[in-house]
Amino acid sequence: MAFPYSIKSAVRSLIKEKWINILSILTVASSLLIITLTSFTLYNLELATSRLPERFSMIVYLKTGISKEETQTIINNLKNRPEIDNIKYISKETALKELKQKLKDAPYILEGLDENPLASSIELKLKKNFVTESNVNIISKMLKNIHGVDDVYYGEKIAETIHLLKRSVENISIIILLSIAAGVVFVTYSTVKILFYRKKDEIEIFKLLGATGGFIRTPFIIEGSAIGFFGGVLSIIGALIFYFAITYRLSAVIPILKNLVFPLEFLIALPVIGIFLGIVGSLIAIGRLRL
Amino acid sequence: MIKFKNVSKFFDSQTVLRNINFYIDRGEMAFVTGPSGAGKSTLLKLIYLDEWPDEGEITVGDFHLTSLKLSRVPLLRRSIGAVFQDFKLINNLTIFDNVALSLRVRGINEKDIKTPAHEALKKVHLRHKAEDYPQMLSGGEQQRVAIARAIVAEPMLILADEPTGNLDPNTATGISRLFREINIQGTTIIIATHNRDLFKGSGKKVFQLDAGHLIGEEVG
Repeated sequence: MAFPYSIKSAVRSLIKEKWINILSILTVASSLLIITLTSFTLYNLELATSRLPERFSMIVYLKTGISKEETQTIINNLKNRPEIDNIKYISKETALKELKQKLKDAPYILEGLDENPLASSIELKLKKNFVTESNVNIISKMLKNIHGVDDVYYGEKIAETIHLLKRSVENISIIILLSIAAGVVFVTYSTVKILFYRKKDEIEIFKLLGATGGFIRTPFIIEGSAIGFFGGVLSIIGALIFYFAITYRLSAVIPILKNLVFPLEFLIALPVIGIFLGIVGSLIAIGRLRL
Repeated sequence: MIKFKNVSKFFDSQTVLRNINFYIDRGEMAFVTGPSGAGKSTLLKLIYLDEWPDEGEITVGDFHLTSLKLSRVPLLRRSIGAVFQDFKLINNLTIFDNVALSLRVRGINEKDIKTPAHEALKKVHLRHKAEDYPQMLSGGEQQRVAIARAIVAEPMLILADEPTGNLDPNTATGISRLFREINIQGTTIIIATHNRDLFKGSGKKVFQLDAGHLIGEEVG
């Protein structure tokens, strides 16, 4: 088996060409750190936006003068709908009481009111996965068609923004991740290509002695994966520094940062991603050998 | 063992070898001679497929080179030990590693490499230089390392291109004697040389090339 020799040969080359290899490792480490920070941002935004639909509600205003029985029928009808998570009935008296509570600093606004102008209403919370612009429109139309319903109010823009925000962040993150991954591949590609050309005479001798493509390629692939691996390990160190800087230093000044979640499982994947991208870069660099 | 049938080789419009026919049997030692530019090196390169023939058929052992798949070229080369005019040693490897390389490309285990590599170096009287690097050796010593690398895997055929070209007469005689000893053990050897002293009185086949044509076959 020539594999031990390939490892020995790759290690020898890593040491002999140390400066170009160190430079590549640092570049790969920086790139993987950007990947980590992007994933971290994406993860936290996903967490934040996943909580937004929980706050979304629709208000169904009932016509004035409908009976208690009719109101109960509407409530029962809504309770049975699959898209509705929970409902809360607000009578016109409760609504006025809440309004007065809200306006307690300016009670003169409500002075002179002879009768309660507010309508009874039902507050609906939708299930998380139904909070999309199109779903909310459909549900709104359905509610308006129910006998006894006067009008439906909901934050149309909120539903749309939640979706738009999520989609934009996802798209931008994917573009960043792919660009950086392509960058890592390019760095290992360039390094391995340079090393390959530097060893061109040596490789010619290998070929004349009967070496196969695999024998010649393996040390370069090992070297590329080593660059990716060490880049990954260095980026773990960078990510940990970032994590501790946020958790212990910056959060003292900006308390909201305390809510950020940093999944440490991400870090374990970094050397593996580094090795994978390093191998891809090396394979492209060496290509097909003409024997 | 080695058969050339109507073999021609051209570089662009220039004819390097034209209609070459010869046969060398297993265990034979033969010489290819002629002036510089006669096509000696190209003829050897055609045998280990560093160059491909443009016309004709070449057979080396069980390999039919004209129809040989690219994936089998390493197998052909492993059955041949080549000694190059410019030695082709790897300067950043020790003498031992240069010789061992021939075994490593064949996928031989590291533990099975040490003994044959040292044996080969012993045959060329360079066992004591195993840990040196090529640039620390004289031209003659480097040539002997190249021979050790060629013989270490006990190939069926050894090709040597001007093996004494850069050497003084005494060293050349030593190298010549070494090839004869290897041949006695049954290895087929072809040597391309313009040094007539190498084959004079040897009793071996000598093919004479001139301007790409095989102009004669004699016994040295």
